[in-house]
Amino acid sequence: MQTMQPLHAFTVHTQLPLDLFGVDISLTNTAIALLLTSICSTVILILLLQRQSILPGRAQLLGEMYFEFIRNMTLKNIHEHGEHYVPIMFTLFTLIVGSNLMGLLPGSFAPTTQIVVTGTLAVAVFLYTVYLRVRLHGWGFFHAFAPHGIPFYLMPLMVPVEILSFLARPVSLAVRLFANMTAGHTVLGVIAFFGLLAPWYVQWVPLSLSVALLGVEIFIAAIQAYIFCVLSCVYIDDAIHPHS
Amino acid sequence: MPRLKGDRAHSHQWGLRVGTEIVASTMIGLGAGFMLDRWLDTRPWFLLLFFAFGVAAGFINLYHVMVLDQKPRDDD
Repeated sequence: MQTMQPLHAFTVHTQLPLDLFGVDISLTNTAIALLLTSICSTVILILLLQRQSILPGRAQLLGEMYFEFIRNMTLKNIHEHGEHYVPIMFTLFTLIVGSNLMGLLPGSFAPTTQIVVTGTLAVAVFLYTVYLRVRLHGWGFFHAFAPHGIPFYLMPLMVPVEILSFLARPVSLAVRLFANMTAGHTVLGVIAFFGLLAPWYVQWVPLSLSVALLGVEIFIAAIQAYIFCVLSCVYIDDAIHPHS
Repeated sequence: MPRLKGDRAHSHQWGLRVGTEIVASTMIGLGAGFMLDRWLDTRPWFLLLFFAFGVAAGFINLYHVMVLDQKPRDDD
């Protein structure tokens, strides 16, 4: 029997070598999975909202409930200007939840198990919040690193700590999503392998456990996308109202 | 400081969040200390100092997550 390699599923392979003026833009399995996620989620949403009526059918209701859920989450976490950020949060949530669920299909690949994907998303959100702070508050942006009511002699200690805690935001966002997805998929792989190795009379234990774990994974896929979007909203709100 | 507003968050979310807050701050602190040491050739002093800053930043984040979110909010 083949040797157990639980992390083998996360290897990035080049599927279609491409070269643009000396720059390597090859399509890897990560890129293909991301493209498939975007296409599938767009097609599903279009199909859900194909026949629109005042009295919605099941498909339309599902699509509208999904949109309402993300809209409510955004409005709850970004005060005053929340409506502007609904489209970006909808896109972010759909991409992340789609990528997470994509990995649960047999033979597929979850792009969010690559830290380069989660890191790019987290850094994009972080840079946008920095841009918002500088645009809205100018140099007042740096006051956020010197908390109110701190004695002057404690400043050399507090300012680096505040800067580090600010810089830790994208790292924490990226690592959380990546670690949860990778860990979940690894556990699924290991339990399934136990099922293959076990003698026939106990095979039902790991195999039924892997079915239950698949259910937990679907739940975690949604929860992780939700946490990523809620924290992105909180960071954006923090940039708009730094002392709220 | 970031905090989850709105509905009372699920405890599963909190567990996941708190763990990565400390790990991320410590990683950033260690990275900054390592880079400064390499640049100024002062190994290991900045690494040690920024490790302490990183852990402190992690605990500050933890404090904000734990304490500030317990306060009753008038905006909900």
